Amino acid sequence: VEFKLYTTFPTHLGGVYENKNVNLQDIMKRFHLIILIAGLLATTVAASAYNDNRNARVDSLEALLKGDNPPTGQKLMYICEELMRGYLPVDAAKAEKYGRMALALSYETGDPQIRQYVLRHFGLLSYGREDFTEAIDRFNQALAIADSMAQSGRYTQQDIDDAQSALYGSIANVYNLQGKSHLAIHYYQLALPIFERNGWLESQAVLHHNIAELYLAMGNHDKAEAHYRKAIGKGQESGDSLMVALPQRGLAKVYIEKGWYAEAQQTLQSACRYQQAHKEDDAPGYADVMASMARLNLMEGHRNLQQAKAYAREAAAMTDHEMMFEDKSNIMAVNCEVAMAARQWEEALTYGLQAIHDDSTATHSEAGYYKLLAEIYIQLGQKDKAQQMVDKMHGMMSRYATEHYQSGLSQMEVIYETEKKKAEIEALSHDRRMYGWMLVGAVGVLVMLVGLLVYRQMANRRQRALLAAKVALETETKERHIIARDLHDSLGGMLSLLKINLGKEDKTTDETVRQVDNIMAELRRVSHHLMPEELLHGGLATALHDFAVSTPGARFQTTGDIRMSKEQELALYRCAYELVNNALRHAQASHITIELMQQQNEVTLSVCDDGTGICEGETGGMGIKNISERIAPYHGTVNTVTGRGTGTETHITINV
Amino acid sequence: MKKYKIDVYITDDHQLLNEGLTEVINRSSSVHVSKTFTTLSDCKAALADRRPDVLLLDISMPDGDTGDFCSWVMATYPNVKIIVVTIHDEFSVIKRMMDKGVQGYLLKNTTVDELVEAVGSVWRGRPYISREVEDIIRKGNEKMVVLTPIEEKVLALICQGCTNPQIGRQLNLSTETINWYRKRLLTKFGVNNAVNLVTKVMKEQILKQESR
Repeated sequence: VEFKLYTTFPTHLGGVYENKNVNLQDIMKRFHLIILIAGLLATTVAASAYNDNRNARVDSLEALLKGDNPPTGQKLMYICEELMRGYLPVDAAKAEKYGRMALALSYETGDPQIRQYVLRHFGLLSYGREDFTEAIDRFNQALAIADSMAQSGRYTQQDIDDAQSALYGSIANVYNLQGKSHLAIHYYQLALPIFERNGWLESQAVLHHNIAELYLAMGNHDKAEAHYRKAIGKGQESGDSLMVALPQRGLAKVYIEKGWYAEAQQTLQSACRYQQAHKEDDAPGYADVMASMARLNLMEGHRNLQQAKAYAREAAAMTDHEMMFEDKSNIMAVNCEVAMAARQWEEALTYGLQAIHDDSTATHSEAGYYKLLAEIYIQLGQKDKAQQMVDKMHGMMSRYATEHYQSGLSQMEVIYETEKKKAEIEALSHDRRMYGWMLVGAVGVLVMLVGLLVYRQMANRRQRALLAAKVALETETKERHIIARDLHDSLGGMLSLLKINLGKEDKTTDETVRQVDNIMAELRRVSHHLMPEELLHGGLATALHDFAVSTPGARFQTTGDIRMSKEQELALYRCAYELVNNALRHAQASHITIELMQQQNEVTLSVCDDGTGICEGETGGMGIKNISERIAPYHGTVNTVTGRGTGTETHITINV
Repeated sequence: MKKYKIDVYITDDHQLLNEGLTEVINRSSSVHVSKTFTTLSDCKAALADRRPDVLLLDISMPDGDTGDFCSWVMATYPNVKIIVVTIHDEFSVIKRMMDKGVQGYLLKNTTVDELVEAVGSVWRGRPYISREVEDIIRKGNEKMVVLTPIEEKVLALICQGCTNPQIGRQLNLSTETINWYRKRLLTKFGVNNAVNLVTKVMKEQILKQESR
């Protein structure tokens, strides 16, 4: 997986370029030196087979879309994405068409992963058109989506690593091709930790190699050495001989530049063995290592002209093979150097002029060639020409310096800005995370508190409901007991007495009538208690008034018009009935006052007597308990003021 | 010459009671029950044909409100006297019927003699109310501010200018309770502050003392 980026990528490009009838060799330039070599050998065969397969696959997918029952939604999106991928190396227009469809569908289905893929492919398409700015934009968009995927937490680390490393690599490649070395290095280095984390050794080797090549081109030999060494290490670890040989070749160049013969020789020998074995597959590589061997033999103190010439000729022989002009320039340059060492100036001039290439972006090496030419012209006595070369070299060097400085500066700025933005985003997301946790914490505490309250409330309510139901049941049972007792004790007794009297012939009619009167009155009392009629017609005040009037020693007084619900009235009426009966039965009261008063939304029923009063231990007896339970639904309170011999005042207050 | 007997209609939803009453009343020399009805509508229809001198009427009737029926009878046939004979001894019921203008009110535990007497009385234009009902009316009409023992004590101390905590200490009650009684007294006397309360109480107490 990790190798895909570097292997399939050039293949895509090749396809696209061929389509556009552009000369591959001209465009690839340095870029291929860095990337193409890494993958081409290993994948040429595989890639073509893959492409054949892919073309078959693409055809079948297109047939599916044109079929009777074309897929929709997510399935269609996957197919479009695959079609885009399939057409990428062969048909830019079709790839773009399917890409747009897939992109639209990815928004419909809310699939960021596919969106990221499609944007990456669009980036490659732009890249193919040489629209580097747009390519960078697309890659950056895809990168932002990959970042958001990482944030969402819905994707595996593997998915995110694949996406991010591929995108960092793609961006770096574009910058590399543009000659923006600093930016390219920066993005390669962003991809590095991902490869390290996943232990993708070959990829690490390729990255280090690419970075080292960039540093070498920039003339930073120390950095180049360090990265070549790392690339060799990773290459050896992965067992990929190509990825050992490539950096070894580079490292040898560094050593030669530094004048370290022993190290250069040792490194080159190893690279040489590999390149000799793959001479046919990789002519430029072989030529390159031969050139390095020639230079090794030109080194100060180890000069072996014969050997050097042999290697240089070997390298020159390879120029018949297809290779990039930089490679050719390098071979010409080394032959020139050998001729100069042999003091064969005419020959040196011929090779030197061949090394020069006006289009070259490799200013550093180009300036070196001008320096060689200037020296040759001096030796040949052509001072004007020499002066010309020196001027060209100076111009190139100063241009290189300025460019290098300026572009380096601007690239550094870009990196700085990106880094700053990243740091800001990081800080922001850190803050957000912190606030998020704080919020979660606060919400959690709140939820717990509310939950506790609700739970207690519910428990309370349930308890109260249970209690109320129990009380209702108990009260009803108790009332039935009272009615049953009344009917049995009083009415039953009276009726029995009446029956006995009726049986006696001598009893007078008057007494019988009196007994019947008593029975009627008692019946009335019992039935009245069951449901006082006045309560329905005249309200509580009327009912209480009637009750007081019908009760010996009782009085009733009220203030104004008092309004409440029928249920509340009945509850208070029963309370009054109970209290008055208590006063009569237990306290032997001779005077009872029933009062009904309203103050705002509070109605107070008071029953006051001049009876014996209740001692402290006796308060809260059954009577009061029944009353509390009756008025509980109306948030009522009961207050009893009493004492031995002082009578009792009971005040019942409810909210209406 | 045959003595004139007062013509009476009886309307009561209990047929048995109607028959019993008719029998005992007709034994008397001065009163004769000519018709009985068990519903107000039957009675109403009969009244259109012929009016009695006195109508004995029960309150709990199945077809309509007796009070409204009374109002209608008195407005339509002003010469017909009405005596309510009922089991209802509630002050509110009695008051309502009396306010309608009925001439007599008897409870059902009355005697036949009293019933005949009442019929005669109202026929002569004198309202008749049984002694029992009279007691109820008197008691029901009692109007005065009655204070409970504690209220009296609290009021007395308020009049002496004591504060709530002081009253509470003296009566061995909490300050809140005293405050509650204080508010209650204000409501009871229909005043809005303690000064007005004291003024009113002083005045009434003086009047009470003078009347004694």
